[in-house]
Amino acid sequence: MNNITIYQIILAVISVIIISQRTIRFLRREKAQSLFKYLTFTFIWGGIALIALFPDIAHWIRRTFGFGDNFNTLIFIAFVILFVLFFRLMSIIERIESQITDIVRKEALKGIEKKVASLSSSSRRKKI
Amino acid sequence: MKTAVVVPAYNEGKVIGSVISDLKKSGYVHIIVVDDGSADETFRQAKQANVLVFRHKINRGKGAALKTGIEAAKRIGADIVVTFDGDGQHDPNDIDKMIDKIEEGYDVVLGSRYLLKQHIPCVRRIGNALADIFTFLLYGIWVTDSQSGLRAYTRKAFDIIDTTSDRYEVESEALRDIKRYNLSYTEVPMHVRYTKYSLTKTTRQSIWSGMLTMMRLLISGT
Repeated sequence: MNNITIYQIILAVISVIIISQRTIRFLRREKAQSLFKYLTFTFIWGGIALIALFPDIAHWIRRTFGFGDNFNTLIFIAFVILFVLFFRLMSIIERIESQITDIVRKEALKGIEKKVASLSSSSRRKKI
Repeated sequence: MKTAVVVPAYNEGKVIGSVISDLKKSGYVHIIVVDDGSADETFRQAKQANVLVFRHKINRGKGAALKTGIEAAKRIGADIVVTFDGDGQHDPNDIDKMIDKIEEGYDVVLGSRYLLKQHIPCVRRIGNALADIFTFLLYGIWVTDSQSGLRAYTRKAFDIIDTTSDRYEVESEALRDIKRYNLSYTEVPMHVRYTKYSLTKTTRQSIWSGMLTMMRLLISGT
């Protein structure tokens, strides 16, 4: 923390803004904001903020797991890319599923007025 | 008040005819069956029973079927919607008590298997208890039977409640909206008939399906 740079501060501020926005969306129980997504975003951006403010954590992880500097960075970037791709795919699948349901439901309800009319006329016939 | 009974059905060809005739015998005339893409005789059997039948071309789940049924009920001008499972486990005689409660002024009336002393298989009890606890933790609403399919809604309630889940988590989602929009609700005891047929169906509530429902509630957005 002795030689804190402007980049570290910017990264930390961005992380805090993103986490607080996500927290507000989660607390408001917005439809697209699930607990799983919220925790993952908090984990990723919390991790970025921590490493930005306390780079020693990264060194400690590197020493503990025996990674070289470059390799460590590579793994981190790969994880971020995989997470982004995963959420992109999840949201695409969710959207397509919901569009399929909408189409199926609209199709099922087609001609409802006709059905109601024919049903009431057939019950009238039966009464006679 | 005009009461519509919405019956979602998926591969219930063996029992749907008797479910409809029991409802008719109990005096309900506005019966709406939604065949959720069944591969068996469900659609044909329901059609023969001379009620309003809608068919999903492909299976989309109980949540989607209920939504279609409730939309149909709105269009025929229903004041009360009763949701009633298509597998024959509900007793039409329980509906009267629910409508009485609606007339007393409640927006939603929930049927509960656990307010009556009756035989319920142990796995169902555990699965449902987990779902009740989970629904409470997630949405802050405590009921004794969060997965009950027998419910009655007033027009005000079914106009407001907006569920998005296609599958079984729709029951918990409706509870979320009851809490969110401050709708008044109560529970009434209901009978449940566990037959060999209903117990062998794979999509029913068990511990495993309860856990899957919980997972989907977590992932699919609260």
